[in-house]
Amino acid sequence: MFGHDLNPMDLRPQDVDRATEQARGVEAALAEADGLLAELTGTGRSRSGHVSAVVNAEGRVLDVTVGERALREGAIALCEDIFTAVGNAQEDVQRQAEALLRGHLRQAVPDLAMDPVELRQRLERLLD
Amino acid sequence: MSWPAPDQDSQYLDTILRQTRDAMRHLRAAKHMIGQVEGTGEAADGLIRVRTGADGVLRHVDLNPRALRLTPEAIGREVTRAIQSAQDDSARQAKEIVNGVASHVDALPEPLDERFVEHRVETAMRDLYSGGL
Repeated sequence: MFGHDLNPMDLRPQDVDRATEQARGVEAALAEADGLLAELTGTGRSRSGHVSAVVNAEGRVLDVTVGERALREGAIALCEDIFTAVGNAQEDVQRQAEALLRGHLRQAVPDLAMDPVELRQRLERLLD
Repeated sequence: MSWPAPDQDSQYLDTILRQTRDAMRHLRAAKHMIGQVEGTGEAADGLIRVRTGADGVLRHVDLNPRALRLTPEAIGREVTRAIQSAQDDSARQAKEIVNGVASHVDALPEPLDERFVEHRVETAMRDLYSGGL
């Protein structure tokens, strides 16, 4: 389950002990990462650089800053700037969250083959 | 926790299979509905309107040209307010969908674990001894 070779037809007590130990490690790493995730913020800018945004770990917008020059190109251009800045901030925080989760799991369980991002994507595909 | 008797295994599995299929069907429907969610938010007396998906990602931003009469600081503040309002709205809609499907998932019994195996082995041993002695 967690990466080392297991033969389902020949499970030994030490295999169960090892899997249990890894599961505890994963649980502890996730709990620790959870607290750090809550403190993450992502930042993003528009292509023009005149609009910037800050979001929290859940992608909720905390602040949008509009520069004086962002207004010169009109309302439609400003909408695009806001759209891009917020999107970039959300991508930024997602990248940070994934890196943090991977780092914590690797540190807690070095021989863990499971990738948390891949696992999440596989779980999401279950409902496709 | 109650476990199925050995002569009820087949019936028990049929029930689990039916309940699991039912839960999966509802979860798939919920996922589809969540994908359709669109939260709306507005600020600056409706001059700024925003729509977001259930994931909080912006779907649409609309600024009335009259909003540009505000200061850049005020526009930033009002845009933030409109987006937050849309994100709150989409999160609320998604939560309602999840709550609606929760009863179907909660109805699933806990998976059989090592306690069941232990119980089944003990029962078999007891039957063996009582029959043999």
